[in-house]
Amino acid sequence: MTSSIHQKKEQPSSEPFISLTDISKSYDGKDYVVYDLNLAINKGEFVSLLGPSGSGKTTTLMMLAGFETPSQGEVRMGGKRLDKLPPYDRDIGMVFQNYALFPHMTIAQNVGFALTVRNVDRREIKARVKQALEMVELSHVANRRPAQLSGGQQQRVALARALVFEPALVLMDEPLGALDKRLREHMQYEIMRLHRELGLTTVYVTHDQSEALTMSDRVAVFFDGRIQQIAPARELYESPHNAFVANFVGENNGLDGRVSAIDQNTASLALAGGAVIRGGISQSLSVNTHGMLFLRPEQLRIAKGDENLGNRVSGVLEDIVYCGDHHRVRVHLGENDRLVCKLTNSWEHSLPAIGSKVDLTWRIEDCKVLPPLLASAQSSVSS
Amino acid sequence: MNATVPAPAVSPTAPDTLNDAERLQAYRRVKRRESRKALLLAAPLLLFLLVTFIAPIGTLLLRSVQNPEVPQAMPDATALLQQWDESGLPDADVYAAMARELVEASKAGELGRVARRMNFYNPAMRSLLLKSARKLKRMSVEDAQLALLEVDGRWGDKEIWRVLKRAGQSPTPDYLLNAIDRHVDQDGDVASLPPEESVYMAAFSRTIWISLSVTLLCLALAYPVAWLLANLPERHSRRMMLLVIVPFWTSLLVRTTAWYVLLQPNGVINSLLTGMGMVSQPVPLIFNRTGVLIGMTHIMLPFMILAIYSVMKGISPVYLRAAQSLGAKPLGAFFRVYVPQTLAGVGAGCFLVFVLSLGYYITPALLGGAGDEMISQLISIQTNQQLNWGLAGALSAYLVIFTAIFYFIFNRLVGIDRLRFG
Ligand SMILES: Nc1ncnc2c1ncn2[C@@H]1O[C@H](COP(=O)(O)OP(=O)(O)OP(=O)(O)O)[C@@H](O)[C@H]1O
Ligand SMILES: [Mg+2]
Repeated sequence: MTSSIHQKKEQPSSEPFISLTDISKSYDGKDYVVYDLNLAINKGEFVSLLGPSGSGKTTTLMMLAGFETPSQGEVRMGGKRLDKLPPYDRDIGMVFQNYALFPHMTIAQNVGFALTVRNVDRREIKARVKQALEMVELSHVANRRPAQLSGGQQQRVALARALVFEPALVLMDEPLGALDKRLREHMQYEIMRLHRELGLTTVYVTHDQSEALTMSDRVAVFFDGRIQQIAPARELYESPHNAFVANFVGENNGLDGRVSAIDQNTASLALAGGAVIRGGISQSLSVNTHGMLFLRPEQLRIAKGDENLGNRVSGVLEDIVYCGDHHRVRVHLGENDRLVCKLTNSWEHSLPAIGSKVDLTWRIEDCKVLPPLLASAQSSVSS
Repeated sequence: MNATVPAPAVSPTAPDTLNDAERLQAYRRVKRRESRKALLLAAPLLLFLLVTFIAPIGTLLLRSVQNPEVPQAMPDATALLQQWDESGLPDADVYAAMARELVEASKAGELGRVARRMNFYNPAMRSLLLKSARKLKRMSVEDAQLALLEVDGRWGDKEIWRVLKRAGQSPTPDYLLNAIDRHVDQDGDVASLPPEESVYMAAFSRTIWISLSVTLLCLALAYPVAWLLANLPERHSRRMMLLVIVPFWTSLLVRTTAWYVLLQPNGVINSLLTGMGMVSQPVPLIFNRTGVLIGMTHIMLPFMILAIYSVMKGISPVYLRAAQSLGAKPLGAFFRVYVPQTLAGVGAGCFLVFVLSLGYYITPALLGGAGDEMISQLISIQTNQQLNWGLAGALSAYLVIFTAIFYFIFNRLVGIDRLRFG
């Protein structure tokens, strides 16, 4: 890894706005909660950190904000070392999960706080607070206290407070976690609008994948203290790097098997039940190792006659669930292998009965054979 | 409960539909039953409070305006005296009634009480009454006025009769005036007592001053400790909390006597100080203000710590982080964001310590000197030694009134309902 640092130093011109290089973090000196993390963010980019609970998202954000120090590695922003600066000198705005609005101050005082501690002229504070509140459409609550506001309003105040001093970077830790679904969607658009209008650089933590996929330029998928993949939403969805990403992002059918053959872009996977399936590969795989096949439910069709799109397996139809705009049909292939397919309602009249034998077919390029999980961060500090 | 009850949602044809009035009645019935039940549950406590707290305090406060001793023992003389206009000496019938009732009261064994009561007005009255009664019993009285004057020339002094007239008035403002170093003088005006008899105003202001000092000392000592308690890792803070709580398990008297031993001129602290060569003479730590402040602060400290801690415990550390992320330096963040949020606890702690200190008794009595008497000590002296319950009641009344006024001002400023007491 040291060589890659040198390479980066040789080309300062292409240096990203923010870079986390070879960051590891351990709270207790035994286990790493973030391991070997590399993340580069460009100016004006919206990057989401997505991952299950405990995967190290908040820790990463806190290292950016300066409330945690990395055990190893370095953080840079705009070419300067950031990890030596205290939080109050970093010029980073932060929106906390439960907003952390100061309960003893009015909304205007909350929003103006960053300016007050910077000893900005009082008249200018007033003007900028007004402007910031207008931006989030909350001018009318300027003299209320946070407790007198609804969750969504508090959220927007927190946003205005973090943006009023025009920070170089905005961090948000699950800012919409406490809102109900409709409000959450509304606020997503609100945040995207502000991001676009103000040209912010934003790092956004969430464990809601649809939020991450809709809002971000790029999504970093966290698991076990490592970034499993960082890519734009479409790439994440269509060509996941490993089994975790495939499973975590969107709905996927996963089938365990043994890689039986490989040619250029496809691999054959032998299932426990005996069937052999071919799928695309994007990672290096070797024959006779364990592999997993991932297949989106909407790519599956029930084969009519001897229709074959490239792969065809047979199984027993286990159940059918009506989901409004589609039906979910589960087919048991044998052993523990099951496939769920999402069928549009046009299939409604031709659905076989439960318990009957069905054949499923799909295209080779629509499914991926992936290596199982990335080696996890379980490696302890001593190793 | 005039809130409009929503109209029944069921169709009006349903047989079990009640109309609005009936619903309201039913609702009130249930409410009444609930509040009766609640009252029943609280009844033992209320009864206990009434018998052991409200009634005795009420009686004591009543004492401060009651003046029963003289009118009871000498009903006629008292009644006649009330008509006396204080221009010359009283009429002959007043003398007659006085001479007769002095003897009667003495025989009935009631003169002692009268003498003690009169002693509170003027220490000379006691001997005058007792001596006169003794002598009158032995002689046959024809002209009461002459007889009394013969027994003691002071019966010709208008002032004596004026005091007796005042003593016959009930309710009386005299105790309440005495308690603030005032009395009613010959001319019927309220006047200050001579400086050598004025002790209570000084004691009141001293009490307030000591309580205020103790409150501020406690605040200064408790705030950092509460902060530690609220912010240390659980393991350590639990152990520390034990240290705060343990004094609560120890008797007040034990703790005070411990200080009594420690603070002696040749006690542990002075031995240490002289031993280390920091002072050549023992520092006077006891029987003065220093001793009182040390002892009271130590005893009040847990209240302050717990009151502040309970509020600090609820303040998320995320606020400090938020302040820092907005550009406040740690100290600035602490004073702008953390301290204001602890004010409710600080208020509660100060209120508790100040009010408890106002009524403090044992510690200043043991550790204080002659100039450190607090008002409770004086109340206790009047109650137990002087048996002047009227004055004790009056002093208590002022203490209660002051506390109440303090409560209202404090409530106005800080808002008691916003305080958290743990
Ligand atoms: N201050 C701390 N001291 C010790 N361990 C910590 C601390 N903060 C977090 N951890 C541990 O580090 C790991 C990662 O925590 P982190 O808060 O970064 O997760 P996260 O991805 O933000 O999860 P969530 O979605 O639940 O917020 C967890 O196992 C957590 O227990
Ligand atoms: Mg988190």
